[in-house]
Order: sequence, then C-alpha cells, then structure tokens
Amino acid sequence: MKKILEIKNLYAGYDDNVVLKNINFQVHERDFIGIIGPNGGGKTSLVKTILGVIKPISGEIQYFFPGKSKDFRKFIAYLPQQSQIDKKFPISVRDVVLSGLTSGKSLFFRFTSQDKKRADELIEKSGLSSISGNPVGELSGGQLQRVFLARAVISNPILLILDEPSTYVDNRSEFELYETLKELNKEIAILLVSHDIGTISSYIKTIACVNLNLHYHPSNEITSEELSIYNCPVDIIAHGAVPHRVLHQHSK
Amino acid sequence: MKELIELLHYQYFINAVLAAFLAAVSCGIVGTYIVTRRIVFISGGITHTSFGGIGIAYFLGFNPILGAAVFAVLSGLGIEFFSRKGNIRNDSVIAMIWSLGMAIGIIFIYLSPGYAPNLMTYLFGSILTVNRFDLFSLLALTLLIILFFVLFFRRIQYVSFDEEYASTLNLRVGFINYSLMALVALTIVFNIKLVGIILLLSLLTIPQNAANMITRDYRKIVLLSVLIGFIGSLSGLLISYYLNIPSGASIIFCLAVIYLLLRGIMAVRKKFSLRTENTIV
Repeated sequence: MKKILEIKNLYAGYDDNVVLKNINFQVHERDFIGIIGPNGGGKTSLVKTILGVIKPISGEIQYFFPGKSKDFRKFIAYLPQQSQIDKKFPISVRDVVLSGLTSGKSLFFRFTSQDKKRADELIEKSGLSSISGNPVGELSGGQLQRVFLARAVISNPILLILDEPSTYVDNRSEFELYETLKELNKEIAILLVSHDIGTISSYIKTIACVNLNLHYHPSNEITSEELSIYNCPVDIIAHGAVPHRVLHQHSK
Repeated sequence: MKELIELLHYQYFINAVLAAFLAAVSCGIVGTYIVTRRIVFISGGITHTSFGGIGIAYFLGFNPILGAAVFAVLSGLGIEFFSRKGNIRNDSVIAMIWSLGMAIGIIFIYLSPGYAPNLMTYLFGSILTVNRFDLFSLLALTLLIILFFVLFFRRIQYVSFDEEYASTLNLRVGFINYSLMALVALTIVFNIKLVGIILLLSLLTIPQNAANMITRDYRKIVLLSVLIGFIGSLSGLLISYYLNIPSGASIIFCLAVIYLLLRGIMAVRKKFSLRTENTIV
C-alpha cells in the first residue's frame, strides 16, 4: 500500500514544553489507525503537528500527496473536538459545510457553483437537506457532528483525522458515525483519536499509543500488558464491564 | 413638517444627518462582528482607552481625534496580542488598559492650561457640531470597512465562528484578527464625536441584538443593524433638537426604545403563533 505520510524523529511542543519526543510514524493508504493515550499525552498535539498548526521543534513530516508540498493541507480533512461552538453564532449549515473548501483558495476567493453543488450533495447524503439553511446553533449534537464530518470530507481528502468524535453525541449517532467512517475508509485513510479504545477497537485496523513517545501496534487488539510496556496508561476497565471481552474480541 | 424642512437649510443639521447615516453603516457592520464574536468588552476597553489619546493630543495642541486614533489602535492590537501570547487574564488586561487610558486622559486635560470646555463632547458626544473633517474621515473609514467586509466576508465569518478550525485550514487567522481589531478601534474613534465615549458601546450592540431577534443570517443582521441604527440616530437627533437635550443620550434612548418594541412584538408574535398551532391541533 502506498505511503501517504511519514514522520521522522519528530519533537514538538508549546514554548519550552516538549509534549512529543522522537516520534517515528507512517500512514499508508486506507489505514484506519486508532490513536490512543492518556489525557495530556500529546494526542491532539500530534494531530495539530500533522495539520501544520504546530511547527515541529525538530524532525520532519513528509506528505506524499499530489501537487505542491505546501498545499498538503488540502488533502487532509479534520474533525476537531466538539466543544467550543458558539450556539448563537449566525451561520447556516450550508455555509459551515462550504468552509471545508477554503483551504488553498486565494485571498479574495468566492465559492464556485461547483463548490455549492458539492456541498448540497453532501448535505443531502448526510440527511440534512431540510435544515440546510438553518443556523447551526439549532442542531442536536449528532446533527452537528454530521455537519462537521461533511465539512471535513467535502474537499475529497486523502487522509481524515478525527479528534475524540464521540464526546458530545449519543450512542446512536456514535454508531452511525463509525459506520460512516467504515464506508469512507474504503477510499480514505483515517486517524481516529480516542481515549476510549473499547468502542473503536472493532472499527480500527491498527493502534498507535501516544504518551510523549509513540508506539505503533500493528493490530486492533491490545492487552493491558502491552499497554504498560508502551507506557500508555489508558483507562480500559472503565469502558466495559467485561474488559477482557473488549480486549480480545476475536480470541476468547 | 415645515419646521423639519427648514432644518435642512442649516448646514450643521445636514452634516448631522450625514454623520448619523455613516455612523449607522460603520457601527452596523463592525458592531455585528463585535457582537457575534463576543468581544463587546474588548470594544468597551478600546473606547475608554482612547480618552488617554484625547487628553495627550489636547495637551500638545493636536486634533484630539488623532490622539484617540493612536491610542485606540494601539490598545486594540495590544489586547489582541496579550490575550494570545501573554500569560495573563484577558478581562483583567482589558480592565487595566480601560482605566489607565481614562486616567491618562484626565491627567493631561487637567495639566492643559485654561478651561476645557469641549471635554463633554468627547464623553457624551455632540452630533450637531460635526464638521467637514469629521465627515470625510468617517466616510473614508466607512468605505474601507465595506470594502474589507465584502472582500473577506467568508474569512471573517469562518474565523469568528470557529477560529481553531479556521487556523487548521490556514485561513490567515492572524491577519483577519489584527485587521479587524484595527478597524474596530478606528470605528470607535471616528464615532466618538457623535455619541461620545460613554455611550458609544450601545451603537455597536443595540441595533445588532435587535436585528438578531428578527434574523439569524449574518448578512441580514448587518443590513438590519444599519437600518435600525439609522432610524434610531435620526429620531434621536430630531428629539434632541425639539426637546433641547444632549443628542448622544437621546440617540441611545431611541435605540433602546426600538429594541424594546421589537422584543415586545417578537414576544406577542411567538405567543400568537403558538396559539394558532394549538388550534390546528
């Protein structure tokens, strides 16, 4: 499978505070990698470094995307943690979805009719057509997430990154989201950041444990012993009454 | 009515009407940004800090508005900078700059020789004393604001709605934030003469919140704010003329009345539409 992203000897952090140390990591086409690790372990920082928001202290990230290397952002879709949305802000569902197309546009850009058609198609697919013109503040958590997913994938990305997507949605929406991701994964590589390894383990293909360092685990099953070797204390017991079933789904 | 037409023979009155219109446009647009972005308190800080510039310019014999402009822009950019980089509470910074600006203004006006008769103009505004310089500077600023918002509307909306996501898209968040802060500061300064430092905040918030009751579309909020702002300023201007009361205060009072009227209408409509829904069921 073709390599789309390679991180070599990466150190990153904020000011003097190093949160990622000597990271080596590769992403290939149609990968579905669960990025797990404790809070404050550097999961979100890793994502932001890949997105180019945080500049690495040292080391490098190579993107194997078409076009100029500085336009890499066009090929990465991002679904951020859903927390600080101003419910009163006047913006429609359609305008939010369209915003996913702004990367790589010129300073004085306008959306083309093609852009708008693509947005309407995606909104239709997400089952949001009837509320396409409504302000996003009126939406439920699950609907809002579908809007943000549409905003992420509207640019036809090669890589999709999701940061804790299940935090603010109910179980049904969460299930629907993972089913959608499964479908998307036929064409797009996915990085799914989660502290909850239980729910995602049947969807992801491999695991990356991030806690200052990164340990890649080429399987979707992981044991407590392995997690402790990786120095990756994830609270697995809290997420299932029968943790061993969650951990060894196929090898009971 | 005859008296009204006669009023239009006076240049100062025409100037005042033009100023009211330009104020409605500039404050309508910039105010929509301030209100939706929830930076009203920052704008209050900039407004009051500019008094420091007025004091120093007054002391040195410059046009006080120029002094205010320097202070307002610097404080706006300063607040933007420190709230991002500084390791300090945002609202505390604003409060400190706010009162420091006022203190500097008072000290320098006190140190200036002679009596300071038009000090009240800057604190409470006086739309009837607006001159050509004020009008032209306000016109230039209004055109600049319109141009900026037309060119960058999408960026402004996206950065205001979800700054973090906008930064992952590389939407030039810094450029948008700093330019808008400068525009906010200049809008405040060039409107000071109309309603004054103390009352200015309402021209930037009342029309927008009134408009937001009617629509939740960003562009429509801007247009309605301009309309409401103009109706409020014009009626306030006329009332101040006939009752011989300060214009700034009467403008704000009119805006507040419009806001409350709209609130009442919306409440009645809501009740009425609920009732009809019930009868259908």
